[in-house]
Amino acid sequence: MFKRLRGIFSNDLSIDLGTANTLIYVRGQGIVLNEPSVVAIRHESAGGQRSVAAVGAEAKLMIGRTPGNIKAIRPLKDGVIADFTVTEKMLQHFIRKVHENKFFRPSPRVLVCVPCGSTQVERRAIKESAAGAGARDVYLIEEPMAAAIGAGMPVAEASGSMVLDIGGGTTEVAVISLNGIVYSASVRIGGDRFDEAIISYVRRNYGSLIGESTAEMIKQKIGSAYPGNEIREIEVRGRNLAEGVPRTFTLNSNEILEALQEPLSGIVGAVKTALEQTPPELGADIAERGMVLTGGGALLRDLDRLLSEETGLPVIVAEDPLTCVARGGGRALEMIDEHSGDVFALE
Amino acid sequence: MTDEEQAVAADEAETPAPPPRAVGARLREAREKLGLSREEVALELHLSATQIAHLEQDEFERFAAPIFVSGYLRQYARLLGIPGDPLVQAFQARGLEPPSLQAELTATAARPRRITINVENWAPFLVAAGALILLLAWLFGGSDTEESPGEAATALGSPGALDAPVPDSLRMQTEAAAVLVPPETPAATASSVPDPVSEPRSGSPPAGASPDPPLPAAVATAPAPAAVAPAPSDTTHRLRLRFSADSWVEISDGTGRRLMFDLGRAGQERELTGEAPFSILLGYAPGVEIEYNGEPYDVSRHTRGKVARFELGEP
Repeated sequence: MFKRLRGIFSNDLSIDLGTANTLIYVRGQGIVLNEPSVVAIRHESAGGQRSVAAVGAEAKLMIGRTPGNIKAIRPLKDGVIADFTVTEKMLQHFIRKVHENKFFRPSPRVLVCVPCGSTQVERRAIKESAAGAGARDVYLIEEPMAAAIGAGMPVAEASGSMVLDIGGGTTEVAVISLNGIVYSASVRIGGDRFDEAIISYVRRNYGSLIGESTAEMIKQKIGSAYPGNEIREIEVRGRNLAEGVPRTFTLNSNEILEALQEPLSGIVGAVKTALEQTPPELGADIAERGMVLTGGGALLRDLDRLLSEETGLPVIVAEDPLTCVARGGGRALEMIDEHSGDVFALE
Repeated sequence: MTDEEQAVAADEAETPAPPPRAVGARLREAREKLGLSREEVALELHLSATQIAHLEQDEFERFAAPIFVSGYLRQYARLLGIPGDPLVQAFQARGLEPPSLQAELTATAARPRRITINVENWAPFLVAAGALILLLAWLFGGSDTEESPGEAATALGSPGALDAPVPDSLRMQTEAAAVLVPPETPAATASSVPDPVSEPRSGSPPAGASPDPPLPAAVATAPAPAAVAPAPSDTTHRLRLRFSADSWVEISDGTGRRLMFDLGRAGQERELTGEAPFSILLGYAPGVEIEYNGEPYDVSRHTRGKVARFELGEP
């Protein structure tokens, strides 16, 4: 009863704690926060006193542009916590931001999505980090499950649903039936690897160095996964390695396609392995309906076509793929509320 | 598709009567214009010809979930080279619900509820409840709160002066000793106004024995030696310490009040009063002589090493 009393003053949250972006879904309000998972840390002195200079979008602007005493870091790597204390600070900041204008210190119930490949240690780290950030109860859910729910797939039916969630750090592929995960695999390829591939391609072929943000911008503007009819171009500025001065050059979509071949083939391989491992009955369901793409990676142009050609299955991009996991987590939280147990949640 | 057509599509989406046919029909028209058969389209989209037929006949309920339909519509439209968004909007206007979540797959699958009690979660409520009880006690406390000796003493001790200054001056004297008493004293005082003398239940002995109003409070704050002089009651005892060497001393009385917490210097003499039993710790026992109510007390049997730790006196 007291728990409920206390719950009046804070909202239940579903957090998609991603490598690239953190999204928070509030029950009854939808997605209220979508910010990069970046924290800028200021080192006060040589003594090692650290303080948070900026979090989220502000901090992301600082990446690669910081003076010596500020460091913009991404506390999550490959979907799991790489820096525990910074993650906690970041979560604290976000939870407080969501609970603006609240007199009481927020202590919401929180559902956090974890990659299905994460270990017990990593899950515990995420749980403790959320608890340390002020959460009253912490539930965990596997990301592909949340993604499938968020995309609107019939997860409760006795039929196979395949979901491919391409995040910033990891790509998760899972086959779901009867509210449970039948098969899941996680490969550490995601949007970040796409960016890295672009950076190294530009260095190799243009002898120029570009930053992460520029690479991401190139990927979003002209990146594609399948050769299309129209060729798009973009003008990019980078430091020429031979001359050591910034130079402007032009990239086109075919070059980026070439650059992305390696990470893309990793994803295709993961999908093919998943299909091989899927029990035949579920495989038949998937062949009939197709698989669903979620996550930021699904926004890469023609990725669905590439996967469709490679697997011979229909491939569908979910509506608003970036927010699928957070929305699905929100719906799972409602279920937990109604049914008092953790229906989808782990532990 | 031009803007006009899009506008038409939007209109169709709003008026429910014509649109159901529109989505599929438009796809079929576009397909026939390109001279493609259903089978060819099905091959391209990796769907079956029946599924294509369902799409073209607007039989969307045959698919597992709306997400699949909108996905197929988009791909079909892309294949035919027409914009997919208006088609999807028209389809979504039909308002098909996404599949509902079911917690229990079978009727018997209900899980037991786990009960956990977290002290941290309860603490604020306990504090709030405590504050509420204190408030109620202050409001309704009145005549039946004499259990506390401090209150009884106040009630008796200030027969003439009922106004605020008295409790205030008391408060100053009792500061450390009794934090909770002051707020309650006015009520107690007020309630006992009518017959201050005929209040025979004033059960607390120290109050009964001493005619001087501020005295009980002064006794309570002990260190002042002057307060000892007038008639020590049956629970108040005297303790005299004589130091022949420096020794750390910790003494608290039967009520848990700390009487001495200090380093006694060689040659010093200290006199303490309080309620028995005293709990005593002497850091260097050989250097301290103790008199209890005027009689010397041998600490050597409590001494272990140089330190003595013992209780003295009967409650």
